[in-house]
Amino acid sequence: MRYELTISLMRIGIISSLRAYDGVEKQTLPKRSKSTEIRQARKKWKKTYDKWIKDTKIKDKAPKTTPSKIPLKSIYDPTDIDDFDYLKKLGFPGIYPFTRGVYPTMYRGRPWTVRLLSGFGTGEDANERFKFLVKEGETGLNLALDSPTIYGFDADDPRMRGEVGQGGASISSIEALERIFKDLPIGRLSTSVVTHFLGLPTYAMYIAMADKQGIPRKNLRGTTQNDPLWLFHVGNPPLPLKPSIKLAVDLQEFCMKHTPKWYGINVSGYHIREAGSNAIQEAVFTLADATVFIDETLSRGWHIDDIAPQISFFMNAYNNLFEEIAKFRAMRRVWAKILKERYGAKKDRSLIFKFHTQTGGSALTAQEPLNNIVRATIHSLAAIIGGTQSLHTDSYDEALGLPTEAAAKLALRTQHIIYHESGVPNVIDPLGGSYYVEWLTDQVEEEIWRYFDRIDKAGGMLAYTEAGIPRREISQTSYQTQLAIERGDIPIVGVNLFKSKIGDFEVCRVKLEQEDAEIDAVKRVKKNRNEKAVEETLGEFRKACKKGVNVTPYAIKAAKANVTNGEMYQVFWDVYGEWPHLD
Amino acid sequence: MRKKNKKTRILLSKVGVDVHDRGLKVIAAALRDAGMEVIYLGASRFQDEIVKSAEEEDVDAIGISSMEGMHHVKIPELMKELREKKIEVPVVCGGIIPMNEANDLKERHGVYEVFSPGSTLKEIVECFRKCTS
Repeated sequence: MRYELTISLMRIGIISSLRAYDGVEKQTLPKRSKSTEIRQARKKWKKTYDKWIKDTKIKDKAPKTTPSKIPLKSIYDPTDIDDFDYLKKLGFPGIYPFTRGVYPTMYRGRPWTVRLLSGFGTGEDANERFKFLVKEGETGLNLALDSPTIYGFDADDPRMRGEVGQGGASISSIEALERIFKDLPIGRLSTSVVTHFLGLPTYAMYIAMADKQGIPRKNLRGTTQNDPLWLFHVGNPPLPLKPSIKLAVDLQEFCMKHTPKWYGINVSGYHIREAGSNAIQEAVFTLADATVFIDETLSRGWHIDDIAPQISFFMNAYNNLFEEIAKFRAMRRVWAKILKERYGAKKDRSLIFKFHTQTGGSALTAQEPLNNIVRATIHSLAAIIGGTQSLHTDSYDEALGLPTEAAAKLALRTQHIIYHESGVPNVIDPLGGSYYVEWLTDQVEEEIWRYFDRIDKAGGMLAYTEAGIPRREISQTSYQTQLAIERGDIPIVGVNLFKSKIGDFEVCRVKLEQEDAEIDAVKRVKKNRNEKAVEETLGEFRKACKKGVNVTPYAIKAAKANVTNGEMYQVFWDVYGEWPHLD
Repeated sequence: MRKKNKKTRILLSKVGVDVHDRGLKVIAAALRDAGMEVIYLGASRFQDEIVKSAEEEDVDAIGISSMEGMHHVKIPELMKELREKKIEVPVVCGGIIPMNEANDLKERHGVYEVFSPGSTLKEIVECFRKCTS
């Protein structure tokens, strides 16, 4: 009886699915009636497998789990994805749940944006590197800021000696920004500004610069990272949590009104991963962080369909090719579901998980640095097969210092070769339907939901962050990973396998004279600017901060009056409080 | 005066606003597992904060991480300040520091040891143990 019922249900399933799927199911997945036969064949194969291992006395040395601890089998077949509902799980690109990609055409329409992170030394140096990359085929700008700028200090602050222009460009005032973007068509190229923490001061300067050039605000295309939350999970945030969220959302809100082609918040999982999390922690904390910004924006009276399209993401692509691809696919599915079911978003544009990817920096080794070319290629493939919207490929020398021009060019060419020569982008979601990748995508998705439940039960991501749980969990994973590397459980070529010493290397180092040039520049700005305008605009900015209104328009006015990043941050510290020092 | 059987106390910090503290955190966990007490200042700390903490916490050694290429400025300045304040404890550094500059930090500025990328936790823990015994 039970048997018959199953069979008849299966029949119904097959008949209706054939109708609905227009033959797709028939082509890609076997009929369920085949399952038993497949299971039997699999058993037979397993016997051969075990016998082979026994007879040849070889050991099955393959890891038993993915890096995120998802248990692995040695092979996957249709029975591993037995109940696979094609339309529900995958569908087609550009259509809910977007597993196969966020746009209908993906790379057949146009390639991902080639966006190499750059910026170091003086504004002129950063400008020269940008022009070189654009000439060589880069299609979007990706500006890195130095740590003093990120943490709110001007180049002329004596405590910043040795750090100005080191890991990115120094932007103390609009004058520095204008030197960086000199003769670059900012009305046409899209610009991503990796602000690491608040995007407000640099965004304000960028808008002020565009206003001066007469470029309509609505035409500006770009992204401001403006995600302060990751710095509460790893690192040391310069401001307390709630004001940081408030200021990030101020910018998001302003973008929604005035620069519709500018992503006001770019939620970052990249740094979470670089700090040592695994792929699932990266995925879940990033998506959960995004909900914090959404909740704050909703509380200001906005509709979800206005908010969601202007959020984008910044992800890491790391070593395990298939787990990374599964991560990107699962994140698209989870995000679409969260937006649709939790927030009631209606527009497709609200449901899509759009992301920039950077290849894994901490996976690069200082030993035998040329090996990093191969690592970065694998990471790039993960991002592209995973359906990224834009990509930075790390240069092979980044474990040693800033990339040299030759290494940056090679990173650029890595993407060009993948796009033009490999054939990888020719077919959308090329691994869709792979038993292994579909199974793994499901597993990653389940893990994300399980984690989300825990966060929900703890009162949501804001409470979870306040309790310092992600911070603790990421540190633990990071420590366990390092111990595993040292035991040899995680092999790294040149480090714990085929060991090699660090040799002599050419590093691109920012000289103190370059730093001096930036210090002189900001000093000149401070000396020559109209002090009355500074006092007035900074006063209004301070008042706005105290009042709790959206401070973005006041920041733009201040930026136009040559108020510096450091001066804006000093207001934040005065009004909102000092560094919380979480460790 | 400190009691003889008191745990070895290590101050770990970065100097300057450099955020890359993954390695430093891992080292903190390894030193704790090895039975030492860690005063963890972490990322983005100024020289005066480190010196003040070293004084107040009566530490046996200091570990400084540098990942953004400012070690040739920041570390000599810190060493000078420690000397002036008569805080004579070994300073161990690690991070992206080229070999020739590592030698310079040791020979000219009195840094006890410099660890390059790929160093093992065992080596680092052993170094702290040796320099505080």
